Amino acid sequence: MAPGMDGKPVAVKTRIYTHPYVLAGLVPLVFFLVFYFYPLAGIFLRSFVPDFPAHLHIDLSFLDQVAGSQRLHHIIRFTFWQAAVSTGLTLAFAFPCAFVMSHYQFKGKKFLTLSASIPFVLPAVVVAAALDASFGRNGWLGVLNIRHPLVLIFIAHVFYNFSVMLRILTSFWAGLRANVQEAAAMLGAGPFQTFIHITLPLLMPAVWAASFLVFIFCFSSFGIILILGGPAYSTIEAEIYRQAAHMFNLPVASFLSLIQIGFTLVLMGLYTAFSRKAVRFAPKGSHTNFKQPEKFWEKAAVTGNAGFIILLCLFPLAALAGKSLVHEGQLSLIYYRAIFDNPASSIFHVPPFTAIKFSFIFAGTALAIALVTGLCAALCLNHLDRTKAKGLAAFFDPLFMLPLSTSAVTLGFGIIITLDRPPLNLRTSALLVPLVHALVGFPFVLRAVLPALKNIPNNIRETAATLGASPGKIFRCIDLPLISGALTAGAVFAFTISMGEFGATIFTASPRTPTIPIAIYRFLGQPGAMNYGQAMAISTLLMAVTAAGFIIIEKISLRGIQQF
Amino acid sequence: MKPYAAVATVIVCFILTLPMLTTRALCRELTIMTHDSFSMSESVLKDFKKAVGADITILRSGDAGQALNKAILSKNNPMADLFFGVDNTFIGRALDNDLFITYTPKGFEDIDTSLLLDDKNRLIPVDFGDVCLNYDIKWFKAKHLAPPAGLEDLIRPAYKDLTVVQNPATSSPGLAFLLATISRFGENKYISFWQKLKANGVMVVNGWQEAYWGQFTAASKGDRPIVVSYASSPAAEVFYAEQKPDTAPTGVVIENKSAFRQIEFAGILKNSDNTDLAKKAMDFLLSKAFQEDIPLQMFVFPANTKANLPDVFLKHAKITDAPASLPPEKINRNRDKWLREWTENLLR
Amino acid sequence: MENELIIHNVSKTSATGSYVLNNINLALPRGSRLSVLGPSGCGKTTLLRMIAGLDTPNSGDILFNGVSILGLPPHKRNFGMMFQDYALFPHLDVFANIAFGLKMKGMPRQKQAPIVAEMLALTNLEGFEKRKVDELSGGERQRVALARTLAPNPRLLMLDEPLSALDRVLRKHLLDQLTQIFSRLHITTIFVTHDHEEAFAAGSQIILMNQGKIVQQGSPDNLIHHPVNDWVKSFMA
Repeated sequence: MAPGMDGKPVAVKTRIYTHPYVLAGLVPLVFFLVFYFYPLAGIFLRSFVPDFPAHLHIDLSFLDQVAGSQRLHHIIRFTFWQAAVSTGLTLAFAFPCAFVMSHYQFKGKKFLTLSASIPFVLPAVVVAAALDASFGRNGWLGVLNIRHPLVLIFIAHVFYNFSVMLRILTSFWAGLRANVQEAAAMLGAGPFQTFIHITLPLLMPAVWAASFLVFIFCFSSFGIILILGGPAYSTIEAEIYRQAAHMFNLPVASFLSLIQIGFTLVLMGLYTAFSRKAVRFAPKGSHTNFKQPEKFWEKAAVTGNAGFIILLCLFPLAALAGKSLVHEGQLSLIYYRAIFDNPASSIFHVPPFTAIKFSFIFAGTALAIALVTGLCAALCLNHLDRTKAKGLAAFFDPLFMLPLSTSAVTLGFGIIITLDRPPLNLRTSALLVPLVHALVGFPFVLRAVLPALKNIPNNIRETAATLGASPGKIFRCIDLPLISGALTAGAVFAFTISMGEFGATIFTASPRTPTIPIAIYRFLGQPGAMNYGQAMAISTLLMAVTAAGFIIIEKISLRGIQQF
Repeated sequence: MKPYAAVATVIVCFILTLPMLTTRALCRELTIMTHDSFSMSESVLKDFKKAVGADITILRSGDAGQALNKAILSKNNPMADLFFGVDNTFIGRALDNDLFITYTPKGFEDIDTSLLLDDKNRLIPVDFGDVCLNYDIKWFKAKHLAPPAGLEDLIRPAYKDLTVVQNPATSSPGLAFLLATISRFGENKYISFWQKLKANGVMVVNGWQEAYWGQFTAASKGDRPIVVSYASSPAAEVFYAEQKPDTAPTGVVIENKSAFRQIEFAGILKNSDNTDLAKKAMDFLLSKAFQEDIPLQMFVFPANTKANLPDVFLKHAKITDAPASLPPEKINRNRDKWLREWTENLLR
Repeated sequence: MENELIIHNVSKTSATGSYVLNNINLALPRGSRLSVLGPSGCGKTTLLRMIAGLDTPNSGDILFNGVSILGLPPHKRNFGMMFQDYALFPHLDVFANIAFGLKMKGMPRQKQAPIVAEMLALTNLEGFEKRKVDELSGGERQRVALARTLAPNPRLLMLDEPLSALDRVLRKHLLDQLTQIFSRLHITTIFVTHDHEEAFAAGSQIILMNQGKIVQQGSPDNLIHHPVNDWVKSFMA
């Protein structure tokens, strides 16, 4: 918990570094040092200095392997290329949709936002199944004959990241005060000129920020590449997995991880720079008035937008649900009934409610940890930024985003060799799953909360202070209510990431605590038509449960989740 | 209700549930580290606990390769007492890293001697399965085409574009099938077989799931009637069918040294605190109770020759008389080289 | 004198069906200065937005020089409007803000510069060309907004509560400046405010609005000395 929340009055103006908000920053810092940097340092040390501590000989023999490998060079190039193309496509599709979503109010808008968000949580194997159900040979859109792995990768990446891009652009666009555009019109700028000279330049920080984020996601894409891309396509992340898990070539895996972390740091630095700019232009708590579509082209735009989101997001999901409901050409609930059976009476059979229960417990715990650490980090960074320690804020900001694209295998191996003794013997603890999930959810909370905090004018706090409010009171009565919407947005992302996360879960999977993705994987791992149908049924359950999770969290905070 | 009050309540609730996740039994506990495909039935687990006299935790740690790598990384402070699931393609890596202690369990004499690969008895065979080509019986009947009889058939023009295999770098049946071709055609000539296979339109996917559920005509809407899977897969097709058919929908190709035998071993990890319990557990793994549970749980064959097979196995699963084989030390020495050669030739 | 702007029976209803503007009629001669006065929510901003073309009436007509302009989009009307919160372009500097209207007309940059300089001189902002708008004080922003509105030489000048965001002392000072500028330019001006002192200083004609209707129209004297009803009397007090 953040110091200062205890409500004790702090009468004297404290120095920068002992300010409660700065001390709050220690919470995420310790969290990161223990659960991220320490394991990574451990695995890198083991990889590069194999005889540590007996000999301090740095073994760089693997460099020849890396330098001489055409294949690795190709993989690095391909990783960048596919991320760039995927990001460009996502932007191209999300941009017009963001325009419609940020300007018009229409029936079913909430439903569209919700259905666009669901793909984000689905495990890659389910996404692959969903795409197969819609674009596959006998899928609903099989006639389109989309078979090329690259095309499928791009569709999957757009499918995944569309909602992230849409959310960021929509909230920013909706917040652009209409009067700036009206002022341009009054000065003789037509709609097109207004867009080019006013709207677009003002949107650019959000466009850059969203693009960097999506780029990083695609850059570290793993499951999608592995399943849809087939063996011919490999990203750095997939290659790390191959080198570490299959070849047990730790030096090369670690080296590639370092490259990946380095690139991510650079990208993150750019991202935070742009989102800082975005904050400066952001509106100050304006209430957006959505229009009803009236003119023909407005109606056409709204319809087109809805049609596209339905086709991109809803259609594959529906195709997947459809597959779980059709048995030998007939509508049937047989797969749903079957998931409750355990024909081999295996101890690893996962009863669906158990899986749902543990998914919720893990996601809830991860959400709690991510919220607390993310909030503390945001408070600290915001305070540093407002005081003279801007450099410090600019240093930590990108650093905190690293878990987004750190290879799960590398981190997992690191945890095995470092967190292996009491009091931190977490290797086999059920707590490890939510901890690792929280590590990935944390950047989302931070990214959501930080802009909201920055938008609170300092004079509000100062006013409260002069009225006798202690820092704790100011936090409770001023900051917290004003950022509750942003907190909710971060919470939704942290929660959903944990619901769909698979890599880290299987890594620590104790049969006592199965989650929904584990259950899906379990069914897909065995031959037999019933198993496949059951996997589709559980995937459908995961979508339903995730949607329910979204709705519950939105209900908790009434302010909606537009602020991410 | 104020939103942040609600959020705080949720957080507190979850923090309160945390101890539930970490409570541990107070009695002694034996931990078995294994891979994702490991399974056993509830009744056998009960017997297992009784036989060992302790609680049993099963730590599934990724696929066979990952699980072994984790065991190697945690060698000095092991996460488990017993490791199950080193196969004959990884046995060299396991023994080189000196992970296991010698123990000859009860029931050792009943093991099929052809399965024994470690003369110091650090790793004891528990089960085996044959990786081989599976084909869609209905498909071949409809096309009036004879199913393949051996590996050589795959490069005949009649079988163009019919086969899907797994990437040996990422899939254990894929690796086993590559080893089958190396054993069958020799270290120098196997690659020319693969080149011809490539010219004949073989499809390569990353894992068993993508091949079986994504491409195999008998299990998916794919268009590949030949897939690399296990000789016991037809039995699983029958066992997991909604209505049990009399004959399996899929057939297997196991003649002419076209199947590679995967043998799974178990051993007691060095530096374990519970070596006494682990020894009892090793005994149980070879007992009839566990061995007869293996087929329907993992769809492989028990190593104990005295164990009876279930009906569905007797009827629908086949055992290869003359499997392809390679000495483990040769596999261990050449694995990286073969994988590299294969990758360069097939994925370029 | 010929009426330049004619508003004829203009009405606007809100989504709930109540009147935002109720049958407004107005005629403005060329070069006149009108103040629209009324409490907040009386419809005065809506009226302004309708003249600007940012909003459309449900019924009635708006004519400029005898031609209906309802079908004309705002950017083709060549009217100037200064917004209540100035709506400066945050990504452009002071020069680019003021030159924006000229640029939209397709004027080359060399021709823009002298006009911008003239506007800066008019508003006492010499030397501010390269300043960023978020570094300006409230009064400076107000003057940049005015300069930007005037630069393209609009046919009609509208100001929506241009002083409301400023403190009292500054407001007095800038009001004087504004009226000086108005008297120098011979341009039809509509000045919207809720403060009657401002309204009297800025306009020779006043219309007083309440609940979407024009309650009284006339000179400042007329409003003070001959209020048509008690509401006007109390509002003027």
